Amino acid sequence: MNVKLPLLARLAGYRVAHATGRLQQLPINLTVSVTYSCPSRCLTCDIWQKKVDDLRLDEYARIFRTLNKVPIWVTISGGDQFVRSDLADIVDLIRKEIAPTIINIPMNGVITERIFTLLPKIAANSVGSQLVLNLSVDEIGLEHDRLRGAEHNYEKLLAVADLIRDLKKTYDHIVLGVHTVISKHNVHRIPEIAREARAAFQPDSYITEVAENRVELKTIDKDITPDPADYRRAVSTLKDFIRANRSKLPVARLVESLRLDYYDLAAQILEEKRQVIDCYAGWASAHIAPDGHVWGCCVRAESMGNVRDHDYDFGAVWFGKTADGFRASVKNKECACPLANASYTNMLLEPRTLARVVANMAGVK
Amino acid sequence: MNLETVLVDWVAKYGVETVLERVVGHGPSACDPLATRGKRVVVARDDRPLETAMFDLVVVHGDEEPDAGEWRARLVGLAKRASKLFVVETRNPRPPSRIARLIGASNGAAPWGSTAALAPVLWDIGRVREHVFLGAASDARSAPRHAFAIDVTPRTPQARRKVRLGVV
Repeated sequence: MNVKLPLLARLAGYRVAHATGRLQQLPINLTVSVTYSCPSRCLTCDIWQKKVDDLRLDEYARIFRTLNKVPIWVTISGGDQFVRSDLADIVDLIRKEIAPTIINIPMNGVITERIFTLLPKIAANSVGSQLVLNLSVDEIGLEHDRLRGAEHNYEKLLAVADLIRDLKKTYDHIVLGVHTVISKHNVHRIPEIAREARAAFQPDSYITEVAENRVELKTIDKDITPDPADYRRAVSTLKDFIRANRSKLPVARLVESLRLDYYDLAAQILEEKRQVIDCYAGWASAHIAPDGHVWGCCVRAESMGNVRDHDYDFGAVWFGKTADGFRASVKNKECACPLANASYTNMLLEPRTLARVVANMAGVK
Repeated sequence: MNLETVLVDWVAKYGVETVLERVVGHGPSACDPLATRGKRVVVARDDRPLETAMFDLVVVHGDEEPDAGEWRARLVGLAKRASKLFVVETRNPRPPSRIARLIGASNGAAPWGSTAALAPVLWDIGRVREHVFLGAASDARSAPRHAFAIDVTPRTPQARRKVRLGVV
């Protein structure tokens, strides 16, 4: 089914499709990885080792057109997206061809000169959407540089945050976020890292993600995922802070509201190693790899097909037989993970978690 | 708060000694307080040729709407005369309302002087460090005027190094 629907009808449609295996729709949550190349050498990620033929701008134009403006949340991921000198043009295409409500760009802040050149253009090209710029801060000062395998990275991140704050003076659609990957390397210091990062970067939102074994990141054999009990302790302090310091910006407040429930969900998934709520990766959320492969999620990174082999028609891959096979596997709960991006969508599609998120948004305790 | 007072602050903050003031239309100069503080101020009006020298600060302000399509080039041209700071002050029109767009009274385009219209051009010129609202109200929607200060020095350590080495 390839028709534009109001959001609530679309959400109901995903539940019907999940239950029946029929009436599939295009995804509302799309991640576009624009390259695997990355100058960082993080202890929690080896994505930089992967080399592929990245999609060109003209190829993205053809793909995005086939998404019929359905995605409301688009994440532009990497690698380091700023390796691509045409990143602002990609954002422009996303805005014109998809017109999502939110464009989210996680940033490592390494290639400062390129960032300083491109970010103002990205801000201009994303007007009409909320632009969430999430700085990756895994530790404080030199320890951050060590974990991320990049000299002077922390110092550069501070400079980029300063630039983003200046951009916010003329572009009110920008949200400055700080994002920490919680791994075995830093799980015991999360309260201190969160406190110091908030003070140094003054973000509109502060969020975390669990370091996971992901095919996409080439981290399947790395011992990086924190012990579930340690993780639960770490995120309990984050929840306390969120409750005590709610943002006034709507998008930041939405993210906080999702986080208040997500942290418990992630802890439970780590503890029980099962899908605690149904996963809609492959129904409502999707990922386009840099070389055109379409995945249901980046944790499994299993190709449903390549848009280059289907005349750049996303739907031709998404509604194909291989995609049905992936969805059947997810529905059979053959996997479980706390991937935040997909979890957000899952939570909005589960009535109980949705009710809690709405209550969090309203400030009901 | 008015343009004269913010200019005094910015001149001190950014270490300005020389000023080129471009008055669009027939309004008064806003740089008298700078001259009384010992800064060298050159005032230029539309009907006068500009000096070719560089200035630490170039200020452009006034009420007359620049010619459609030309104002971008005019701002960029003026900014090239600044070595530290470029200041633009103008009226602060309200963006077209949703109702106006719905009934066809507006095509939705950002009007001249609005942040939405100016921001891409100002960020092409340099780094917008300050954006203040002037007049009786000091909030974005109701202030009658606003001013931007754009830092035109090279944006990154790498770019500053290139300038020192004469690469660009």
